[in-house]
Amino acid sequence: MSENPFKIIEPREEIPATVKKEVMGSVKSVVLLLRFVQLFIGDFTSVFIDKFKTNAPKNK
Amino acid sequence: MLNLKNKRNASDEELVKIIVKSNRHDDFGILYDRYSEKVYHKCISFVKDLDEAKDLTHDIFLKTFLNLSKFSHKAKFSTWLYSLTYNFCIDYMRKNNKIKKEPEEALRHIADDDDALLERELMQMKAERLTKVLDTISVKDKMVLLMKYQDDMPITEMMDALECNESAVKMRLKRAKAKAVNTYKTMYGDE
Repeated sequence: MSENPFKIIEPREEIPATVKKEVMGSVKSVVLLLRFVQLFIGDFTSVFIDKFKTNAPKNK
Repeated sequence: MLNLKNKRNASDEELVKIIVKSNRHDDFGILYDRYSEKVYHKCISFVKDLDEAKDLTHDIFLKTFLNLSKFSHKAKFSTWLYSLTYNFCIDYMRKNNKIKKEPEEALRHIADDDDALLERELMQMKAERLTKVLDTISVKDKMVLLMKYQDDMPITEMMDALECNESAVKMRLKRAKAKAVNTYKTMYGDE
């Protein structure tokens, strides 16, 4: 049985190390952006809940 | 929480759970190290240009990170990643008009007993000729053949990757093999 030609044609080039730096940099930026957005959403929710508590009837 | 050594030994699927839970980008580096070469090679085999393949690899990993929470854990992580890679490359080629129109050809009906013969003919092709054949047939047929013969994906994983049932996968595979063999014969005769 001859060798599977699909395995022979698979490229052998090494991926440049710079790609990892770029990928991890982009991922880091995305994570920071998500955390930043969450911070605002979190604050908005907590402000909303505080407001809700303040306006709640006092006799409950 | 697992330490770095344990994380390096963790399965892909365990790592995905950890990353989704913690959103820690450095853990994603472990998955990158495991699969970047494979993804880069797949991009090269589609776009044939190292710079474009580099950019595609970057975009594929970023998309993978952003979609990790959508990974359902039904299929293996590698199957999911390769499927995303193939589809990303095909979309890129379509957007950049890099997809050649496949010549219209009436495919003869392929009987069941032809399948083994087609596979044997495929396996006997010379590597450099096979490369030319794969660049001539449609990108979707090329993808199916690479999944089966380069990635060694079993039918069950191809069902997940292609989102179709077993008989549909087998039919797509059979048609792709027939197209490759017919194209080979058109290009090189019956040598």
